[in-house]
Amino acid sequence: MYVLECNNLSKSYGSKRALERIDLQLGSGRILGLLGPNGSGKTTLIKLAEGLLQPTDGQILIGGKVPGVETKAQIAYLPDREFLPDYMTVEQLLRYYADFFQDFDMERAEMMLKNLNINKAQRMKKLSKGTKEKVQLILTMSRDAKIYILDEPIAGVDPAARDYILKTIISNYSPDSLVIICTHLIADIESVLDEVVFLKEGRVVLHRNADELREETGKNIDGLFREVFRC
Amino acid sequence: MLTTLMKYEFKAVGRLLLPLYGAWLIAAVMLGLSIGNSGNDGSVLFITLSSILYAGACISAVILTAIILIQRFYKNLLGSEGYLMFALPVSTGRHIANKVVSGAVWTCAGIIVAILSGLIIAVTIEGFTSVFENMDFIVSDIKYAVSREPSVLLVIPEFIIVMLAASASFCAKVYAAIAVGHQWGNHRVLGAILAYIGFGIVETTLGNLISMISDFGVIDFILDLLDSMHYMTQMHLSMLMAFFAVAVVAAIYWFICWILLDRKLNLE
Repeated sequence: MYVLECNNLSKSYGSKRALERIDLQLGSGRILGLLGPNGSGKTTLIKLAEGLLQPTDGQILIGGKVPGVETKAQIAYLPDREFLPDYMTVEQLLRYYADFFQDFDMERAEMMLKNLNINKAQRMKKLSKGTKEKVQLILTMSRDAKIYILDEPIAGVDPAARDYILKTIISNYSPDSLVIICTHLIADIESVLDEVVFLKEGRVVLHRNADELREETGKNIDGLFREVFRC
Repeated sequence: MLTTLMKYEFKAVGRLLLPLYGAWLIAAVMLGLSIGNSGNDGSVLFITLSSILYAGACISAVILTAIILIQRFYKNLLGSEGYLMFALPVSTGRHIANKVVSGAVWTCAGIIVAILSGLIIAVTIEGFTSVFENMDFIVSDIKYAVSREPSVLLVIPEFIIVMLAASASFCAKVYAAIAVGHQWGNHRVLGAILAYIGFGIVETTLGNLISMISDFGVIDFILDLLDSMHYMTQMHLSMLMAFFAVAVVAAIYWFICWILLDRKLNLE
């Protein structure tokens, strides 16, 4: 059984088609780059997986189930925006995640906070944009989820922290989980990708193993992306 | 999960409303003391200032309670925090129930604080003993009434339940209007206001339809039936009917909210 499966999946916003008949089967034990220019349908696909949107046609399945309460317990989702209540302290947020997610690993979260020198007593609204993003990522990656969906996980952090975050992503996911990274900063994450999906105007134009793709084309993923999506 | 949701909801709203209600009660104490100690030259100015302070506390508590409850629903479920809330392993129905119950409890808390502030003013003006000097008579009257009709004791919890249900129905109506407004691409606040007005028109129309039905004798039949009963049975049955009517309205608005948040949700 696939961890995530899209069968003839389409989504429209009024008359605008955001996703067009997507067929995608994703297994566990890999890090997948979901890549495409703005408006290609990446966020729509992620929202459908998370149950934040309903498909217009077709279906999306998480571990064989339609998105719902049960699948939400299996997905660790990092949106591309500040989504945590800013009046709460980092420590309160750790307890919040522990209260709602049975798979939340408090020790792992505290260790990561310590490594990044983040004060647990600070309120979110007092933190810098980059530190907020680090806290969001730490909370997401401290779960033992079946699927990690990371929408622009490194966009707001400095280059030094990016390496730590990528290391965190690699070291925290287990062989029976799937990591989906959605980003524009392909060069920074290229080294960790096992598989890539290119989305263009709501359609999958490429779904390949990253190493095979590099060997066949003689280009890196970043170069190939620029070629496929040249303006 | 509903209890966990409610724990965080009460904390989030309480941190804003409890200081507000505290200020309201302090303003009541100051007003009571200023009136109770009137007699010296500065007392008129002190009474005027404390009256303005108390009126300001009353008005701001009512307005801010409404604003905080509306903003809490909008920001927490339909704003950026919605990405966290709808990622929790909690059903949409429970999210709405959490907001409706919390809204109802805080609305009732506001009413209780209003009553309490009036009591505080009376006690600080007249003194505790003079306000409660007739307490023995009141208690003995209650004892006599209970000995004759024990079910009279049920009227207070029944009234509280109906009050909570009415508050829940009102909150569900406001939240349903916000959810309708959120379907609009732009001018979502305007959409929510128009939806609220629309709900009011539908309620009035349905009320008129029910009045028309009464012309055919349905309401008269119910009233005749009530008249033939014991007065306490009438009271309990009236409370039950009021609760049922309010609960049905609350369920309809809850369902509208659920459809829009579960099936038509589109967070920005």
